[in-house]
Amino acid sequence: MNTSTLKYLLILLVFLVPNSVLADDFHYVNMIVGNRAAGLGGAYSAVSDDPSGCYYNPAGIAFAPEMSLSASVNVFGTSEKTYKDVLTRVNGGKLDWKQESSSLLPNYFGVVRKIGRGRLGLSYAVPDSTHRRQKQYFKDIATVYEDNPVESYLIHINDSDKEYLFGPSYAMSLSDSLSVGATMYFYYRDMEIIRSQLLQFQQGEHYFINYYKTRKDRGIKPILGLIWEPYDTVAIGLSVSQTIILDNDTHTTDIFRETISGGFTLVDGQEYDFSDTDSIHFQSQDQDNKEDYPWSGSLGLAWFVSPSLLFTGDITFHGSEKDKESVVNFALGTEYYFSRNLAWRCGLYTDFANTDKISDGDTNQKENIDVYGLNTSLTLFHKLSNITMGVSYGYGKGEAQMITDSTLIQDAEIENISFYLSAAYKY
Amino acid sequence: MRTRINVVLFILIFALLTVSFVFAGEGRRRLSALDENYDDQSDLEAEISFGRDLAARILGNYTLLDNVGVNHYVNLVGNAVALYSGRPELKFHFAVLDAGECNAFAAPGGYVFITRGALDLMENEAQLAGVLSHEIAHITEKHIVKELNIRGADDSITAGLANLIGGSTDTMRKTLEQALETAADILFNRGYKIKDELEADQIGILMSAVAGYSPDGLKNFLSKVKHFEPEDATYKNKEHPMHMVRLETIDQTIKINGLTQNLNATMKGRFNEHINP
Amino acid sequence: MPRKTLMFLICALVVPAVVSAYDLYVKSVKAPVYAMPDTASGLMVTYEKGTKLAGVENKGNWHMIRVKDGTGWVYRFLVGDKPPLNAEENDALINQYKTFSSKARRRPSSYTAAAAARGLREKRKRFAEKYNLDYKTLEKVEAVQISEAELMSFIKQGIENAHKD
Repeated sequence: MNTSTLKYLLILLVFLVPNSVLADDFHYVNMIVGNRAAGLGGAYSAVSDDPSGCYYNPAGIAFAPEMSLSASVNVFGTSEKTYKDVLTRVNGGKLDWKQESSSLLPNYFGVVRKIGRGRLGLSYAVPDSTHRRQKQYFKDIATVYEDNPVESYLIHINDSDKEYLFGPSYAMSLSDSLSVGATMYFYYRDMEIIRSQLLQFQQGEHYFINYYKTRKDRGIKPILGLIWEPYDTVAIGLSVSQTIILDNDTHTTDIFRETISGGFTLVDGQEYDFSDTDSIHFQSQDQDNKEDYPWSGSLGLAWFVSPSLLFTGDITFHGSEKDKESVVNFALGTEYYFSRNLAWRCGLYTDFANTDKISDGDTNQKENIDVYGLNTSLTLFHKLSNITMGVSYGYGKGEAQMITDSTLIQDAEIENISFYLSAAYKY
Repeated sequence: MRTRINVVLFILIFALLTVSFVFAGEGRRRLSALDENYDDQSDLEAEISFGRDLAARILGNYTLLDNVGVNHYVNLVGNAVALYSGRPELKFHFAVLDAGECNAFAAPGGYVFITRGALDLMENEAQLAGVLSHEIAHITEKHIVKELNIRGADDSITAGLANLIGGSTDTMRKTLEQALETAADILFNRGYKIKDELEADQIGILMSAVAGYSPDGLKNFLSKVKHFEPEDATYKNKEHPMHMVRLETIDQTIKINGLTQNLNATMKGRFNEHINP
Repeated sequence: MPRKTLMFLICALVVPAVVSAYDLYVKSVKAPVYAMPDTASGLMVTYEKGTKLAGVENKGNWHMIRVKDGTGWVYRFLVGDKPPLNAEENDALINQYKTFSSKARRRPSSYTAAAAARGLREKRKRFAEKYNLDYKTLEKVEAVQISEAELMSFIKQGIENAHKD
């Protein structure tokens, strides 16, 4: 086997540690936070008048009608990402990559209480949580040499990534029609990536890699908000926020073992020497690389048509950062009360990728998948409490380049479904 | 996808235009929070139970007037007005407090107290009916109940599920002790919210008028209190600080609602018969 | 979600939003209905307690309601959105609270929960002492009974003498 063959084979492998190992940094709306807000598709920056307002637009909690309110949301979310036709079998058939993610967790808890002239809020939010797994086993994968295909190929991925926000909010009314508010969230991100793969070639060579990475980010996310009600039934909301990472710990460990001699290859940006047959390669390193996030701004409009009917819409802009393109997302929501005890909400939202469209001929491009979502929920009210059951569905199609240094482009698909159950009280 | 979004947008805009002609907006408050009547059986129990405690609290502070005839007469006038209170589920009780100050109190659940000092300032039954119906209106409009959020236990399935999901309980609510002290503070010191006071004036006047009394009763009494300013005139000073605004509101209420009937129905003779025999 | 279902759900929003009439019940002994929200506009009809009315809109202290030949206006505090209850039905209820302050009024049914009530009663007793709650005098106040006949004759006498003073 000559060097070029080896290179091809290894290139085939290294997408296992693709150019971004982050769970999903390509999108901003990975999970829709909140109770009523979720039902409205996240179009909440002009409404915002309950505990989930702390997250969307803290100025809104000044309008919270009750003395005190609390809300908690539990979410069961599943997501499936499919990269089409990544591998070619010996018989010409194509094989997809499938990654599944699911998580069950409290997604939001917040309380709002009247303090003096304003409202004080305290909230906890999980804007992103994934536990992605891939367990696939392939047979007879074609290589450039017909006489030495990959006989068996095993891949295991077990990634988990959670973002947490926790902190106080304060809002007050400056006049009957104007309120301002601020939230100071403490930000914490906990990521763990475990990936391993084994390849067995027909002529006896094998290749094994284990990749382990942990990353912890600590920072702050201040949110400033303003709500103006030019009319009794119309509200305009504006909120601005930015995640600022103050401290980062990243630790990476790679282990390879291969029985192929000669050549170099790139794995995760590092060049490794494979001239030593039958060797075990081990590398462990600690890094401190703080990720930069762009600022975001949301402009929302809410129309309280009647006590039973509400329409709301948001436009959210995320600025550009060195490896992120700017994004504009949209959300539309409506709420209808069938009676005092039963309300229905429906929301549409976009979750566009913060990456460029993939162009032909280039290599190592980030995946670009635009997601569209639909949310619907029912809320039952009873005196001091209410419960909400909701479902959220998101679907997106796009393209990805899964193979390092290859110009091949794969179609990619994301499908998210989540169910949420939440409760709110006034007291 | 694009055409689908266009269709959805079109329908949303159509819906907006259609409904905008149907509704006059009432702002941000949603239906679930509007018109909270606090009117299920457990709320009523809580209201009566709390009102009894508050009434006992008032009677702990004052002495009941030891005059069966006067108390009976005030009950007759009060009940005659309370027939038009719209709260037939309550039994109204009226009592005269043996105090020289000019004051009146209402406790939720149907308890109304008036001081001897206030009675002494009155000239006729229409004035008494006016003051009593003002106090009744505080009860029917549930001013204290709403301000302190006095509600019955919520043992619905919704509440039970909400507790399970959210892990919260009713213990977050104010204790009875706190609520009772706050209510006593409203009655004895800081007074009702201005909005509530003016609402009680409006409803009180309409109520006594529909019961057949001269609509000028409350107004004449308040005008009299204004000129009569002893040190302890709490009916004016503490509880009702906005004398002029109140009199103006009363005038407006009489005018807007066309209260031109029974102007002479003051029942002065009967009043004197019972109060100043 | 299929497009048709989505369309249906969104259209379903618009239809119920247009419906507007609501139920009202007379909760006072009587409820006069006027031609305009103004008692000088002329009395159209007087409804008795318990009568079900169809409300059209609420404006200030008035509800516009449907009457035989069009619409009329009634004071909002004379009507409510639920049928009237009787105070007598709540008597048992009030007695239940009285058991805490007076043994004499305890009814047989309340003995079943006597053990539970004892703790509560003692707690309330301490509470009553601390805040100087005078239940004894309150019971005196509650004991004043006005019979319906007496009240009606009092009102009738008032109407007859209204213009004599």
